[in-house]
Amino acid sequence: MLFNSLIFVVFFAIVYLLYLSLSHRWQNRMLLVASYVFYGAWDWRFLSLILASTIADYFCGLGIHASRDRRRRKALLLVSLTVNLGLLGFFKYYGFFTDNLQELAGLIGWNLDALTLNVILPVGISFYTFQTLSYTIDIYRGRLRPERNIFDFALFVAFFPQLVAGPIERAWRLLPQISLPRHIGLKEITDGAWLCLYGFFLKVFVADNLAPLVDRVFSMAGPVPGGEALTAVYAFAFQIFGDFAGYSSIAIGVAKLLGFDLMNNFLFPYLVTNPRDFWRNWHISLSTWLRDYLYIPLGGNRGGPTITQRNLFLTMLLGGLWHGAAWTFVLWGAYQGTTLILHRQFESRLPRLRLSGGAATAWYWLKVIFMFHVTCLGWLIFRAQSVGQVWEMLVAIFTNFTPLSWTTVYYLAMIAFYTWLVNVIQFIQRANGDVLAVAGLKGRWRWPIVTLMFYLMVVWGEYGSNEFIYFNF
Amino acid sequence: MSSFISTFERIWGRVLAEWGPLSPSFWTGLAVSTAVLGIAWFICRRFRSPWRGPACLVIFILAMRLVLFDNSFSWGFYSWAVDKEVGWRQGGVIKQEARKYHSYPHPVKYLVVGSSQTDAVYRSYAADHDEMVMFSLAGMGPMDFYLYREYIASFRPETILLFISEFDLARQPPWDAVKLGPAQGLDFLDLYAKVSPMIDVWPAAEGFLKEFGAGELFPEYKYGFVFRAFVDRFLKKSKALKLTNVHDIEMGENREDRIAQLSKMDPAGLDFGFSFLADFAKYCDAQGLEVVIVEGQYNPLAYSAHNLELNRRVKAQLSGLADRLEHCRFIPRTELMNFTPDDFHDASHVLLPKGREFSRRLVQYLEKGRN
Repeated sequence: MLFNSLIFVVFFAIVYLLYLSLSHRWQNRMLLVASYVFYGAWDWRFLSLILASTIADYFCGLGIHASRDRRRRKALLLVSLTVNLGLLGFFKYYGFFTDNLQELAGLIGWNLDALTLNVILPVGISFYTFQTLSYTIDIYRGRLRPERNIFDFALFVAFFPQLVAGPIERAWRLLPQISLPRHIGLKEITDGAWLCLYGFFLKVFVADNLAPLVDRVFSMAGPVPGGEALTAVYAFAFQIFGDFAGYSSIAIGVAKLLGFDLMNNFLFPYLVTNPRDFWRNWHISLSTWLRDYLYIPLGGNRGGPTITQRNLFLTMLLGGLWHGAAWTFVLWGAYQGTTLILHRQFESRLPRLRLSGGAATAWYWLKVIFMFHVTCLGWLIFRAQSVGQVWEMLVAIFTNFTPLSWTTVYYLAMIAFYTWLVNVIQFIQRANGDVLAVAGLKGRWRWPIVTLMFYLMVVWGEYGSNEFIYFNF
Repeated sequence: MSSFISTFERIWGRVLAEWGPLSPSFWTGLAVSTAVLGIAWFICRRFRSPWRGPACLVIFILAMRLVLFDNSFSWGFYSWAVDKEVGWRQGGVIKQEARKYHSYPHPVKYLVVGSSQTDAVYRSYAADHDEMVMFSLAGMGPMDFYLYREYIASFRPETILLFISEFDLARQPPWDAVKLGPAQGLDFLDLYAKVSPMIDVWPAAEGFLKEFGAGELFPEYKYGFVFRAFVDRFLKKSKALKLTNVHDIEMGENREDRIAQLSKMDPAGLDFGFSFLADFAKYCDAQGLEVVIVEGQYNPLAYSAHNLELNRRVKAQLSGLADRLEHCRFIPRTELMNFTPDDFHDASHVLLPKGREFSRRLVQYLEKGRN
């Protein structure tokens, strides 16, 4: 059930009407059923995985909290890690692992075809396993008390707005909102409606209109002209932002309409000047998860520069692999790790320019443009179908660049047309430091923007059955 | 500026000569809509409430619809500006939308309704006979007759001429084109009831229902192709992506493939197509408009035992329909003339001189019947 489908609109309308008419306790029960229906609409068989994860973590959480025996606590944590990472590993990485093993074995003449299994990737498994893992880890660390009501805990795992593509919530944020009565006032409704509208706009106007352009270039047979390759990467940068930030915005908006306050997942990732700030603005729920449950446990920045760099690299490498079972994602993770390390290296060594006024603004924009291109190189690796294609496109960009071919100009114009309003909105959000800034503008500014979004969505929106990119992760 | 005004006068003069003056109902509708929106805006500006913003937004959207869609000038401009950027059907829809606000300049004796196949049969004759008027859209079929029934009736013709065979009744409607049909209001429920059982046969029908439903509420969505075409024209999309414009495709291309396809007609849609034709004929009957269903023909090279069997079924259905309705006639083509394979451009479109000959015989036949 996609957020941008008629069936979801009908589903949510029914859920919302029921929700508003029920008491808090029954709201939670109904939301749990609705969440299972929402997930089961894809493939009801995979509900068993969510249930397995829920039951394992519920009892492990209680067991860890109740036990004073360190070894027993560790054993229970290990059970939770094994169940969650085992499910994730099998469903997401089995095929990748066996394919590579078969290829390696083939080199020395062994035939391992018997290992081949056609494993389907359950939607959202990477998201809800990380969410539940944080729950047991936090209890193990003594930072969280376990939830005793199994239905409320099940809702924490399966809460439908953020079940399949995040934001990856933390138990300490979401569980109290489930346990305690929620308030739905005019502010929640207007903010929720704005976030939903903005999310739909990002998806149907920005992402899905740029998708054909990107697909066309990335699936071209034969050599790709450099100009087209570069513009396709620019287009993909906005496509993936529109797609993923759009999904997150709808998820947060839908949750807000239900009285929940989910964490921001995206801020202004293309208005930053360095890789560290990029990860503070992009997929925030994942980057903070990786920081809290991987980077810091590895030692963080406590072991000197070399250890810090190792930790950064390993964290981003695994973060890359989290996105998908392919070498391009491993390479992308390595690239992100490298940019963070380089930034850390150069940040303290480069002299600080003392600029003011127009010069400072120009310098800021130069850095933004440079950082955008650093990010785009990452997106090229991310989007490419193989490592070979990354190389081919890079060669095309640097050796076969015809800047003003009509196709390139057309692609640039398309990108400008489909992204100008989202860029204006991003500027407004950044200037106010708030993703809800447009909703808070005075009526004479807010309504024209809303009207324009409405017209652009209705007239130029793409309403095919394009799935969200992050459903594959 | 003066050249702009003179160009406008020249084009508008041609429009008035061909389509007639703007109808009184258009002027009344425009005046009432403008007054209502003006009063609503005036009240809204003085109304202090959290709902003022959304109310102003709704008024603004309705005013935009009035400017963009509810007048002949806008549609005439779209036709002039983007006719070459849109497909055949879309271009036809733009012209039809512009034309619907005009009162036809003289009485219409014969109104020919149908697809490009029908257009090829009657166009040459209609060009120099004022009493015959054409309303043709690319791919137009029985479902379109039903959707455009009010527009067709607005010509007040003495006789509506159709050119129908199993070719029209058995084929799957071109959903992407049919969805551009006029808003149906509550009749959409009837349309939904008719189309939804066909989703199992033609899965694309589901998308059609959703899109048509969306178009009922949001004309901006239905007519989005116009504004997309403006952007495509401005950015020169065809040149950039080296696309072949549909208007540059020669009639008769892929003739053999089309004939081969046509020889394997799918009977699944026969009753579906016929039900829309019957509803259209009943509507016209109730309005006192005569419908003459002429048995259509496609290239005889595509005849097969299977198609001939379908032809027998179709003829029985059509003559049964004509028998049931007071103002409906069915004319088998054996009464007029049979086209030979050499008379066709391709699988379904006849050569203009042959079509002219057919039209002449049909008019003679009808006149003889009247006398």
